[in-house]
Amino acid sequence: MDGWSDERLLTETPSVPAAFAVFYRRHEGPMLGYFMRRTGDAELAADLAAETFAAALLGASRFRGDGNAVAWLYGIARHRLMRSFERGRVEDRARRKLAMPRLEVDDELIERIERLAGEERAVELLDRLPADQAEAIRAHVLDERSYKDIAASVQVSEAVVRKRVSRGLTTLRELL
Amino acid sequence: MSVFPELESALDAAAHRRYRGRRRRVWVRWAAAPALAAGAAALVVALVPEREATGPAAPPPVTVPAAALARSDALVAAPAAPLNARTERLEHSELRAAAGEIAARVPYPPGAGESMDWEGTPPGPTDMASINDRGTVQFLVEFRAGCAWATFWLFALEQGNESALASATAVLQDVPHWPTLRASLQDPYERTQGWNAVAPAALARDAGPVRAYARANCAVVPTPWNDVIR
Repeated sequence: MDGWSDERLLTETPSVPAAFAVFYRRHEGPMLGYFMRRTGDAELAADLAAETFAAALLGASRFRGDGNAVAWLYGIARHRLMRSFERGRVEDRARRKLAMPRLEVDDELIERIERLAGEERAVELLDRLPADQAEAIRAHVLDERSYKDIAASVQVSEAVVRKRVSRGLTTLRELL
Repeated sequence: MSVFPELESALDAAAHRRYRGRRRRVWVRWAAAPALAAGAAALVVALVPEREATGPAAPPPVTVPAAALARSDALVAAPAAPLNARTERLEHSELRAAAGEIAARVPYPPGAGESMDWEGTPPGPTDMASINDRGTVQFLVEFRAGCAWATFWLFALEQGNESALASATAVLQDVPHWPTLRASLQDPYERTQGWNAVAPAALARDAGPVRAYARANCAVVPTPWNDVIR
């Protein structure tokens, strides 16, 4: 299932329920980062992410495979965020409907989410680098691919990839 | 591991609770279909004369020539070619000929071959991305041949072609020992990644890591079997 597209994971969830956990793992980090940037509160971000994914699970049977799963998921996220601003609290309707237990948000989880938000900030800064350097850093630092693999994929020498990563990281340090 | 494993577990449990019944209903609804299909097929076989029922002969399964395996062995025995070593400088116009010479000593699965667009690479040494030494050409040729074998391995597994699969598995064990890829065996970062991880996965007939690696690194290498990694 790891090779399935987001759209397939959602459309298959009603017949293969384990597919939703794969979908969750794929989007958990960016979703927590999304809510962290908008609320600045790790506990709130965790609560909003939980409700968003619960709503997505409820709606998976109605998701049309020809739609864009990420846009659909973030549509739910935006809606949950707006409602929480309006009401001054995070709804838990979807989680109650699914009979999900209330989850504890401890200090360790808060720390992990805050660290994640820092990484998300670095990803945003990548957009300000030249495209070849950003691509090399994404591949080597975030995707943990070796210099050789990246060099062969973009058809350059390994030394060139090393230079691109090094120069890109230097620029990122200056931007931070 | 996820950032919020408790949420992942809770969602997984909720997904199974919510959709468990639906799977059963789908199964019940379609349970009759295979039985119907089998009945129809039996009827067709019974009615069609024997000669027509056998139809045209299927193409013979792909086999890997012994020469390809011998080439792979020879590369394992060849001297290492570390990437940071200074090697012969090449003009842009010489790249294709050099690649051809190197590829003649590299094994390819039947139907694949050296395929890089050397003319499409940046032409001058002033461009950092240009290729202007024999070592880099050799690295790209060997790496891309490894990609062709990984894709062929997935194809052979999908086809149930045991003979081709055994040959591809043997070559994939050699790929990390080929001259320009050998240094990664000593690199602590790469020792458990890339071709070093593909080799044991192929030996264990574990398609997941092979497919994931080929999809991430080999999609730019055209072969007759690229559909298996899309």
